[in-house]
Amino acid sequence: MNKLSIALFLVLIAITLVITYWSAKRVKTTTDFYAAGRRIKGWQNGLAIIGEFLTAAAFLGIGGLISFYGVDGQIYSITWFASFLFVLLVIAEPIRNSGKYTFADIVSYRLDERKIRPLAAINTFLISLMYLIPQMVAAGALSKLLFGIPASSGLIIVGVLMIIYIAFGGMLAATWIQVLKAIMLLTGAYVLAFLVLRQFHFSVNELFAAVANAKDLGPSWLEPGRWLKTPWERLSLGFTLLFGTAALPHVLMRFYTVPSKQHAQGSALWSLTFMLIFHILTFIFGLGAAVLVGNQLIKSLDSGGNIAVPLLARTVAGGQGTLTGELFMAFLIAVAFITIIAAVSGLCIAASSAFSYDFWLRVVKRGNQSHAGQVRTARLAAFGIGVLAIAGGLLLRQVNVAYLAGLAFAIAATANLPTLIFALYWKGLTTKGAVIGMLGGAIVAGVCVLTGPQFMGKQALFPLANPGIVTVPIGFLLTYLGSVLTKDAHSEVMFKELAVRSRSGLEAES
Amino acid sequence: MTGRSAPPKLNPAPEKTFTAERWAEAFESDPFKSIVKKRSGFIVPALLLFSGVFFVLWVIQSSFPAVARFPVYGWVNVNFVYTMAIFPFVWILGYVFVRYIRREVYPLEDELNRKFGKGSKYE
Repeated sequence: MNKLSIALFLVLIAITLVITYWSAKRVKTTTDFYAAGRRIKGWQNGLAIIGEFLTAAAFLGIGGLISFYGVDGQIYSITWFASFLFVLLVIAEPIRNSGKYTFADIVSYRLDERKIRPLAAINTFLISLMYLIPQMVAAGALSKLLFGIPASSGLIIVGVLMIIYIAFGGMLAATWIQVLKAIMLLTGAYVLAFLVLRQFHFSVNELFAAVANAKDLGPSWLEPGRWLKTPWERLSLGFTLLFGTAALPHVLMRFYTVPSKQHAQGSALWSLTFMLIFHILTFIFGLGAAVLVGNQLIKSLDSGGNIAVPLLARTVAGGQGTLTGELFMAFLIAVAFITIIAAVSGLCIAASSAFSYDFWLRVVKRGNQSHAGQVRTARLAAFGIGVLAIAGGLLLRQVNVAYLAGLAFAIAATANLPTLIFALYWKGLTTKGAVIGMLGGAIVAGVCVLTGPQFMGKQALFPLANPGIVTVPIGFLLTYLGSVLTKDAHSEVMFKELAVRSRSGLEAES
Repeated sequence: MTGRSAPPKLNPAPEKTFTAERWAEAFESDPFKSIVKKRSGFIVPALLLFSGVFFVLWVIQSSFPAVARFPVYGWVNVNFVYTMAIFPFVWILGYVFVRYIRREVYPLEDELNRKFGKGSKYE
């Protein structure tokens, strides 16, 4: 199994390196580096966006969660999917119309750039890094599980590949690697769903009956409440995922890669479509694995459930020891690993743009840096972020860092989203209000996560693992109160510009 | 719009070539007011509907377990049917939004562009 998986993985890596080489030859300007030259079509960007989202957590994690706990795990599928409607309705077009490369472009358009851009850059940097490190740790753990190589080696391989992709190919390479990965993932997912449903004569009811009647499972797998025990836990997780997704910097950046507002809107609809066709399948993977593989075997190999989907693939494609079974499992394992590398590459470019563009160029250099210098700084930043992510992953690989991803979502939803929404839609936003909201929101989100069950376990002082239901309203309230209690005549004047520009596309970057 | 970007400038912040008066006039113009009205006219009810649909799911799952497990067809229950129905519902809402914006709002944006954009009386 390992040799076949590694061989397939090497083939895929070779393809991604060819993509990087092709991209590197085309990256000449900062727009090429940060925004893929704004030449990505709507459907391509739609695939790249879902590429950012179909991480190992979505592909392997949700399947394992449903396998262990039943349909409660579907909350991840439904909320991640639905978050894109919010992005489509409220964010996609205005972002494309108003900014150039980053989230900070929007908020500093009408506010005092010297105060707000460094803060927005720090938030973006921290969110991306906090999301990146758990992915790196997961990559190490999965490489051990899937390929049988030491976790530290797997982590370093992922980090080095990420640096190569981004430092040389920039957003162009990241985009096309995401597109490749998304196509392979969707293809693999549909073949797997077909093979699983074939076992049950293509009847969902038969699959459910098998779950309900299985010795180690039962009807409770088909009902809510096995995993999320309280209503508030359920509501807060949904809230955090829904609003956190809409403000993740690496997702927002994707809307700058398309040539126009129509393409931005189109790409949000395409991503909604691709998310739909993937996420309607997750219950088949989870319940199929529970019945056909068995949770005892899955848990014996990985208590986190990440091996459930690959094992299911082997079982339905012929079983252990058969060529088809081993080949299909190896294919899905290789795709899962490419999935991780593509996901960390998207995060790397978001973090490096926060440093090289928002902080170095706009704050330190005040916009005065030669074009070649900008691209050089961006490449160096990507290298630095990569080294930081590898070091962070190696240092923290023995620690449970899952809370860091939760923290990234919480900060994005609590600190960034209120400022972004108010900047686009509310005349009364002031610079001080935005600073209070972003700083206060990040602190509130940090305190709630670090005193919550994800970090403190049973000794938690804050009861919710995902604090969005409490922190997101606080983030909005802090930004609102900070704004109504202060004055900012410049922001009020600039609101007219931003409102016209964001809603009509007048003078949008081309 | 689809060609390669122009040669890079030293200052890559969003371009601000319009005067404040030109933006203010565009803000007060009829096409822009119609754009805002038409966009809000779809987005606000759509978000309320979307929130309502999710709220009902939450209420069913949290407070009415008997309803959630009520069989619809064999072992397929209300919870599963409702959850799966959200997928096409959300997608249709997104699709209708895009169609609506292209039909109702983009012509107004074109009008605004003709009045205030490149090639208008301001240039």
